[in-house]
Amino acid sequence: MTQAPPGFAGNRAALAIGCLSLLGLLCSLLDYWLLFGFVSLALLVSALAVGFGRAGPRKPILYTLVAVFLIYSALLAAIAWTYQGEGEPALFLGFPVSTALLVYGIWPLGFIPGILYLLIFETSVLRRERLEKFMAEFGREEQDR
Amino acid sequence: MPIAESPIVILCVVAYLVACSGIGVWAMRRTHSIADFLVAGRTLGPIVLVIAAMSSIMSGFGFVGGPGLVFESGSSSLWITFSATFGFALSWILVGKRLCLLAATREILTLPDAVAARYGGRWPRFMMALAILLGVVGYLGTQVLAIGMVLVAVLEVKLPVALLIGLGVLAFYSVAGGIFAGVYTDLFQGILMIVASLAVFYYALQSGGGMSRISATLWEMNPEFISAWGSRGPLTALSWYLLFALGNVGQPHAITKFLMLRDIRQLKWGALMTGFCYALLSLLWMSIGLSMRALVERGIQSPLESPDLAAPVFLLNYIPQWLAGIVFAGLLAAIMSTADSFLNIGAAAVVRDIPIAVLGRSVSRELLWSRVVTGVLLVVSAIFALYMENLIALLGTFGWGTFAAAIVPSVAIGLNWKRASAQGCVVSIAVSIILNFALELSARHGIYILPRGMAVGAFSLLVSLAVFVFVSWYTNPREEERLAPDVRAAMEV
Repeated sequence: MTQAPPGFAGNRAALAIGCLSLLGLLCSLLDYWLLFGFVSLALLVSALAVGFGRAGPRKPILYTLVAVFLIYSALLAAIAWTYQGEGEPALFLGFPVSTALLVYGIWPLGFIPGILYLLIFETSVLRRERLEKFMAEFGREEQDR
Repeated sequence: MPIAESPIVILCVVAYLVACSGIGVWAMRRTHSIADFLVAGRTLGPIVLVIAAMSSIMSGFGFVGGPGLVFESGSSSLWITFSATFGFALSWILVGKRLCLLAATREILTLPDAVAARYGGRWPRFMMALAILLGVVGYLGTQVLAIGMVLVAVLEVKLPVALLIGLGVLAFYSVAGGIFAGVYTDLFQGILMIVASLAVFYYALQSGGGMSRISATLWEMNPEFISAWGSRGPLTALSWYLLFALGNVGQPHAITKFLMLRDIRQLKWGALMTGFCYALLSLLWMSIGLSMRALVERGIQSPLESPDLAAPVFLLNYIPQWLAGIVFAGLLAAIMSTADSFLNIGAAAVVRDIPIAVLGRSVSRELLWSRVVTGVLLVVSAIFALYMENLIALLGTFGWGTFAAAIVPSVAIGLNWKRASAQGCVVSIAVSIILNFALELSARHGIYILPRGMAVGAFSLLVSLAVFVFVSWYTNPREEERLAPDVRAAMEV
């Protein structure tokens, strides 16, 4: 089996998950909720990095993941910023602005990893030649023939 | 609980139960081996996989508890349901391909089979099976109770009779047809849920006078309620988002479906499509709770005895009877589709995983015993539901968080990180079980160790992840060299 190209996952992404988990625990215990939110987002994006780790090409995927994290973080900061506790509500498409950011921002943003997976499926996630080689070497059905 | 007196509602629910039984008969004819019973002979196509995974995750909690949570605490619980789009993508990205590849090289019928292939030895398999069994008992109990409650409402019968009818149908198709019946009833049930959700969304907005009017009413009542965090506050909302997005990868009843896929190349659209289908179901979750609360605040609807009545009361009073019938059938579908998946993985844990871990071999006549244990699990769950409601509630809460904390590190990270070790796997599963139980139990007795609002499951998940990574890092730097060639190759494709 040919060695796969080195990805950015491996030890670094796994260690990032370990460290971010510790940081998340600390933030939750100290009740630093906004920081906890950013750490959670970083953790979710690190998990994506682990999953896409060997799906190269490395840089475009890495840049997309960083962009996902930055957009999520900006939305989270905007929700915290626009959160109103009193006064007349400023409604946007039927919701108070902070809730609108959740409904029309955070919610649809969750589709981006699925779209990325779809777009790079044949070129990176599951390349035909590598799958065929794997199945020829280890596939049960091929060996049964 | 309100009683449905409409013959149309009763007719729809009865028709649904008959259709499930019909699928059971069809599936029974296709089930000849343990592989058929547990992984549908690896014959699923992409659409069945997508709908079955979605239906498994959308349980009675989503259809009844979700609107109830929105009714009670506003936007807070939207963070749970909105996380699913990200969560399903994570499942596909982290474990979809790996599990499919492992299943193509070995006889992998269960998640503990996959864990045993990855880490070797008996302990990882045993601990994974134990975590699954504990979660299944609790989750199954809550689903069984929910089936009983819905049938009590619709058929006007006593709870034991309702359980006998509902569980009779569930037992019939699950015991006879195994997961074949499970996934094809899931397909039928999932389509029913989507139709129901879209229709209810329309009527909920109409009854409330449109989203702007609903928001204005709720803002007048309590601005916090309809603002982004809801009345439970930001730490709850954010910890729920983390727990339900990342925890999605650790739900065995959903990710086991990857072992059933006919062709790995069919994974391509699944990450997006499952999230999209679930997003349609989220419309029901969001709209009923907000609309009902606005109607109560305006005095149009009398106050509810319990937030969980938001969905049933809305269905019986604010939508046409024929639609209420379909939605009640959809509600039953949501509960039963989750229950049949739990029955399947629970039976596999008892008949296959624990015996292999302890005795080194599976029981003889696996198919027969899987059917027997499926029936026994249902009876035990019914007894728990009838006589030990408090325990069921505890185990039910415990379910999602335990699965997330026990399974995400070992499976989602472990199948992608070669240095992950068996010690890391075993210790993180043990820590997640103990921590979840201890924190849930102490919270129920009024002892809050965590800051108020922090979800217990999210805290356990973070601890478990940290334990897994650092124990793996320090215990065995040469773990990579011990990987079997096919497992190593499956991690590199």
